[in-house]
Amino acid sequence: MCSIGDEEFEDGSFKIMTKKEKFTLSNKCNKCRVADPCVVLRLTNVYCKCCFLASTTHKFQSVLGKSLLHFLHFLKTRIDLNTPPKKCRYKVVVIFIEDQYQLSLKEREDVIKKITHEVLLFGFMFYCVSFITYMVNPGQINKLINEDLQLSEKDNETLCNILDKNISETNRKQILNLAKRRLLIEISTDTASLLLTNICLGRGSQVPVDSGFCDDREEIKILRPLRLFDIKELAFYNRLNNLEPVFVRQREVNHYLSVNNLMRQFIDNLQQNYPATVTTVVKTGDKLTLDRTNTHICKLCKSLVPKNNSELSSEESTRFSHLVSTTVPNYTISRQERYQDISTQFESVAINDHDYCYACSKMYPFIKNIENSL
Amino acid sequence: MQKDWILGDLLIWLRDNLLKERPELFLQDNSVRPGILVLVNDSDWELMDTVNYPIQSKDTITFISTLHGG
Repeated sequence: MCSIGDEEFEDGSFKIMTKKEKFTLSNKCNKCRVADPCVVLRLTNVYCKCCFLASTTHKFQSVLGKSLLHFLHFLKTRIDLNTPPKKCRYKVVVIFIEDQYQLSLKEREDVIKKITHEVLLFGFMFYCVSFITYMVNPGQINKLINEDLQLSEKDNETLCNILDKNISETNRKQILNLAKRRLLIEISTDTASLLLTNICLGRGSQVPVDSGFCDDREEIKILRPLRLFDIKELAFYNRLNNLEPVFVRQREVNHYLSVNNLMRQFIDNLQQNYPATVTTVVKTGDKLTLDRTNTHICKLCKSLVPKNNSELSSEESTRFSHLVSTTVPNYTISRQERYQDISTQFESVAINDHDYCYACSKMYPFIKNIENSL
Repeated sequence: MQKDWILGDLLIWLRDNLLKERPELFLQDNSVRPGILVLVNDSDWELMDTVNYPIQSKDTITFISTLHGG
């Protein structure tokens, strides 16, 4: 047996992880090495107020700046040629999707009022769209934003009625996410849990668009400039800039009700105990790319569907394995004939439907009446 | 001599005197629930040994919840 490296553990001293020294106020900022720190990030770095604010701003700009090269075709209309490179001018329009059904009508109205106030304070254009109106009357967002927002106590009930009664919480969340994804900007923990959820649900091929910087599945592209920020950074940014974020009471979550919730809990625990690992999850996801030679597009999530090739996909392998394990072999015929039999049987039940990707094909039975909203 | 109040004592006092319901949404074990940030005089409490920090007169202690959608 290989014993290389074992000698280090003979005295037992390396078996125990060395205790990390705690930060104190006597430490100095990791960056300027002069000022007193005010925030600890990822349990490893301490920053003073000045360096923290400068680094968050730089991080935000560099995410957009780096991606500028890749999305030049998208951004070119917004580049001001008279400004230095990397600087873009944006026309900001804020769209808020109202779907806070866990709140009372009064609370929902208050949230909208506060958000409207905050956004208008910055001088941005603001539109509020009702998610339920969109689900009931599927159509272009452009049309919906010109309508007056109508809230009702029955919105949650209406949403439940639209979706199939027997739908699992995991599928319910997937469907709602598909409907919302056009306008959502996720931050890093959301991105990391979405990434792992996607892999669990058989949406591995969609990781680059679903949790990457840019989702370019449709004409309107979604950028996620906050994806590399963790929630603590954002909370401190708000606090140190004296911003007043709008608080929205969240619904109580049962972690075991859906794959999404379970992954969220897993990532939240990571964030708490090993915050740097969340960045590793996001960065690892970044290394996955799409096979752009695929021409089939899933009708539902608009992602590319892997094309057939001579090798079995993991889904097909699982189905083949299931078939072989659940079929009683006929021992009265030769081995070759038995193989031929099972092979023919497998091909006869093979799904040659390229309309939907693997994950959406599992969800399809539940969405017949809302297909137009997705 | 009067005992020094540490931040951990304040959390228990808040639970017993100010919280009206469901303390588990604020506390977990002897600390705040993950996702709630604590600032002492606008500095991260992780710089001050968290629950063991001895509270000084005129300290401002802020709790920020990141368990919301805003």
